[in-house]
Amino acid sequence: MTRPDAPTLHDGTSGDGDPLAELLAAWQEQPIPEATPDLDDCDDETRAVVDWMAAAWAAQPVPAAAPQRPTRRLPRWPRRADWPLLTRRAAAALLLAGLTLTLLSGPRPSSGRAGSGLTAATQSTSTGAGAQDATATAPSALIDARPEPQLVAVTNDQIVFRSGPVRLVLITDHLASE
Amino acid sequence: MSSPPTNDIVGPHLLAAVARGEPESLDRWYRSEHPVVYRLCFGFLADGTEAEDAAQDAMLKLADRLASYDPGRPYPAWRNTVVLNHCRDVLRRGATRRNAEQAAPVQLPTRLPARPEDEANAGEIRELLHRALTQLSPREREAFVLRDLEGRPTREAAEVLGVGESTVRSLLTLARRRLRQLLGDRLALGGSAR
Repeated sequence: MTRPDAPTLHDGTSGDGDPLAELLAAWQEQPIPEATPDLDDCDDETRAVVDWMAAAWAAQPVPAAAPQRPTRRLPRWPRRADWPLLTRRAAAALLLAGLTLTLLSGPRPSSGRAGSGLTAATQSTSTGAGAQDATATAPSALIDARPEPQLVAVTNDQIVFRSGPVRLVLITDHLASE
Repeated sequence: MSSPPTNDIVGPHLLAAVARGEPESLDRWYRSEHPVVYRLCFGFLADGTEAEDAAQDAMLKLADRLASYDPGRPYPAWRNTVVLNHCRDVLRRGATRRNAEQAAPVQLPTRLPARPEDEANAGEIRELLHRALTQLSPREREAFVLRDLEGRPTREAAEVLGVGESTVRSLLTLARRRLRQLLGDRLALGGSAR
């Protein structure tokens, strides 16, 4: 790094051959001294302490170490098989698969309101443009087949609704006062 | 002021060969760099035992990352940055235990060995270094190790620490003052240490 641009010369003597200009040019070519906190500016005691620390630092033995090959990142696998965890995961996967199969192969509503809903849905899609697969609308038909939500109970602090196997409990503290 | 042994053999050719995975180059690079990395780890962590493990891990990190090293950047600054970040991670992981250790009052002999470079006193000197460095805050220690112990320029130390040069100067002033208070009375002024 060199000096920044020359400062303005106020006496107007910065022409060619001017000793001041030459001196300035020479000064500009010099590297900027590093702005370090110079130890020489510190007191004797501080210098002695830092020198002692530096000498001790340079002389400290380094434990021997054998070179090691850089490791290429490998996919992380468990080092030991965690059997309880694996068992729980396998059981959960089986349960999930079983439930999925049950849902997919369960009895479809074949009569009554649900059946008519399914039929109606199938008919409406098969007559539409593109004639997509009729089974794509089956979930909405199944939703139609479910019973209507019912109000099961109203107490001082809660209201209970029921829709099929699902219960919805609304808890509030305002009923008693209202 | 004594300066630590430097290694001038780590050049761009060697680094490129190490990045390519050439075993002989890796061996040369490792033997040249490990002492520096160990000293840095010892200084940043202020713990000799922990520094051995940290230096091994830092060497592996350096070797892994050499392929992404930009030759346009000074190698010592890059290396010191990687080592410093690794040591900061180590410090974070063991912060609780270390805080408890540093809270304990430091025990120092009434007189420091006059010749710290004497191998006969190596164990004692190392222990004294450890105790003295633990009395500095991590930031003070980092600045002091890079600037005063490793002799790196202030500009480079500031770059490695991720702070301005004026901050490095402030940290150095604090570190030196603290060390003078700790060790000044125990040092024979005008002895061979100077």
